[in-house]
Amino acid sequence: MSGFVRRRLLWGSLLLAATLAVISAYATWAGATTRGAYLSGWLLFGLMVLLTGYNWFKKIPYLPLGRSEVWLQFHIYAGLFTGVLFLLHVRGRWPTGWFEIVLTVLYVLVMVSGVLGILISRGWPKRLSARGGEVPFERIPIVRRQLREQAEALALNSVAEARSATIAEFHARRLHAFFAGPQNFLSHVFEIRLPLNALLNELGDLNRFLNEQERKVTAQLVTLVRQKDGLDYQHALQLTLRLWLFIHIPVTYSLMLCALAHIVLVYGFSAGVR
Amino acid sequence: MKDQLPSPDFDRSRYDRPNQDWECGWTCDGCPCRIGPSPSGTCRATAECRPVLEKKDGEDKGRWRCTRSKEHGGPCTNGPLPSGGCACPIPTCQPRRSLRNQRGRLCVAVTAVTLALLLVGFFGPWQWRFISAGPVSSNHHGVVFAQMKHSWPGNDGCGACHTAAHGDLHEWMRAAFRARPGPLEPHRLHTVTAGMTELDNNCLSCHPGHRFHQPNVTRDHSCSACHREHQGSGRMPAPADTECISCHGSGTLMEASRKRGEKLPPAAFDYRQVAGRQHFQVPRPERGYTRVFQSFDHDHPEFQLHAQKLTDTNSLRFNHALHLSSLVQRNGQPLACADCHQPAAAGAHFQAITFSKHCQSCHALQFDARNPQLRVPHGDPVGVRAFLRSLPTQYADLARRSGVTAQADTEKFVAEQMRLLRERAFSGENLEQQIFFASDPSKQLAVGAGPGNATPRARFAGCAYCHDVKPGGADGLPHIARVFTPDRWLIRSEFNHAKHTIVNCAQCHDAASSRRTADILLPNKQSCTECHSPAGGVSQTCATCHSYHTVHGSQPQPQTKK
Repeated sequence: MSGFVRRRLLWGSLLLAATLAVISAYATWAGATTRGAYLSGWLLFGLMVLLTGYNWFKKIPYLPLGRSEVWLQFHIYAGLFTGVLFLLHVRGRWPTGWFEIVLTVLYVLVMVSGVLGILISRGWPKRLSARGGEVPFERIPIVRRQLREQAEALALNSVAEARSATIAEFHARRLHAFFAGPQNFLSHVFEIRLPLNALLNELGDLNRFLNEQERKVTAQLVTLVRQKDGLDYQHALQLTLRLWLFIHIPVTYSLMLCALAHIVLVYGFSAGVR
Repeated sequence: MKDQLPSPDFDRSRYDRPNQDWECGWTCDGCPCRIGPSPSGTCRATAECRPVLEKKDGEDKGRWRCTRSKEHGGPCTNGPLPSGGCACPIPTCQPRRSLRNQRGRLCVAVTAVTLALLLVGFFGPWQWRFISAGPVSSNHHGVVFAQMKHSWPGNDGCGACHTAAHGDLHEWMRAAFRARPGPLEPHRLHTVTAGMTELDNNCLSCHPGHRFHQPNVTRDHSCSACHREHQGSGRMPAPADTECISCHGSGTLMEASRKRGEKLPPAAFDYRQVAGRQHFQVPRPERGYTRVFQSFDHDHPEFQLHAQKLTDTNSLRFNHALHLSSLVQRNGQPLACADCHQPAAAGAHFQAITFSKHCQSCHALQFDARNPQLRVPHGDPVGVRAFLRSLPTQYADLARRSGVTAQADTEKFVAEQMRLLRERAFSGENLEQQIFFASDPSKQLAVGAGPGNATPRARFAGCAYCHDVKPGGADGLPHIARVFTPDRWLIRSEFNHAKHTIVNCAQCHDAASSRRTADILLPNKQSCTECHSPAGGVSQTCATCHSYHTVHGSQPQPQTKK
């Protein structure tokens, strides 16, 4: 059993035990106390504060707060546990008040973005490795520029060497835009190869009008196109791996702010509970 | 394409810092400068190197040397300018924010927007609609409620229930921290708060008397604990069983209630409003109503009528079995339950059984078989005696109603009838005694049918046939026990007959075999659980039968000690 599987089993068991414990406690005590919603609400809020704090713990590494890896595992499984608490808190019903709907939508956004983030963080690195051509995200523009310059050089040289401007015209018409920047973002995210195949087919069609020397250039261009497509693939997936946090973190702060307002409203307008 | 791409060539020795706030503006073009922007986001690029002046021995001017490092291409071919400046200036750029910095700014922006929207929501034109936890139920949204709204602050009359709605944000905060336990006291949520909350008191201002449940309760519930408002615009949902079970399922609380009840005088439990109804009075059990249970079908106590084998104490002698048998007929048909038990206006209960409406058509109290038109009056022994003592007048009046107009003929008719009566009863006193005390149906006073009525008259032996008649009343009159026919048998619950019309009467009430008045024909709990149980599929919630609030109106409320 690998360490990852063992770790997943451990945290999964903890999550299951906590879920069973809180559901059985709720079933037992819900009848005995009228403050079930308050208890589940405070538990949920406290956990959300801890989960929000994960982003800050990473910024103060000099404090002895344990390893970030452990905190990440806690963040994931405690985040899933908040789903149980949330359902208990709202008693499984969709809220009817405007502000409560806003709260619910914010929570759902945070939860869904978090779950999606975990899924892609776990699954997409395998996709990136399987596709190959791995480059650090920050270096992608540099590699892209190199590929672009190589393609331009090939196209320009082919004019003088083959005394024909066919490849140069094709480059200007079709390849220049392809090498200029990231392309086909959504196609790469959803693993669709149609744009690449269409471009390669056009290059294949072009071969019919080229002489032997130009065909060698075209073969080199095909290699560059494949490399550029791989680079775009890396860019699309690595950018998405960073962009989900653009939803998860800001909406979390928004949710915490609304949760604080919710607490004030609940206590102010219920005047306590017995 | 299944083949794995090789990693492209790039400078692996260079170390990027994605957590920096700014990056070179040329990065997106693939040629960031090696200097990079300042921490404040300004471009620091000037030239590729800073040339160094080298002087050899004996030289005055010296020679400028390019200092570009080997890492960045080594000394340039053109070399420094004669003035000592670098010949390879770096074009300046507009540094751009890193992804991390953009995310941080987005967080700040979203937080600010959220704060702004909350302020607009809380203090804008839709303030109360935004704050409201949901539509108010129809119970609090009627015409009367709308008319009263103007006296409460808030567009939607929120101030009627929520004191905090009378003020601004400051008042909300004050109300929040006034609450017990307050928002900074979540550790006190498990403790019991003494006294009703502001919200409860606001409920009681319109619903007086609803605080009271039983004199021996040890823990009052908040109104909002059971009655959950803001759940939708329809009717307010019925209280959940869990609220009732929170006390009735707790052995500790029930034991405390029992002990508390033992210290209270019996009169404290005589709190039910009769409101003109006839309640069947049952003695309070020794332990009160403190048995612990969890559900109706499982361990709810048997109805007290059956558990204590109580009997009907009504003095009227009535034989249900006889009346439902073929011996008693009406218009040629045996009697049915509905012939006597007729639903009241709402259908939930039945009209009270009265002699004139339900008995007289058969039990006409005819005492003279030859003159069935004459009937003993019902209801008062004095009236009966007066009637019997005025029999000559009654016969004369009967003769006139029969068409006898001549005085002589009338006197002859009266004399004849009185003679025949004397032959049967010997004297007026005997006749009165027979009518009051005779109870043997085989010696009936009259048998026959009324004029224009094909239904045979029932046998009338005397008042004692149905009533409990004893001598010893005032002026030599008999004492006839008062008839007490309850119209509410289960006074701690509510049964709606209109909702049970699909069930035949005999399925619940075993009237066909009941020969004694003492028989209480109410079904037992098992009869109810055939349907009102998970197996039966019909609701078995506490609120189906019971109401927490046993007192409505201005009944005195015993003070519960905390």
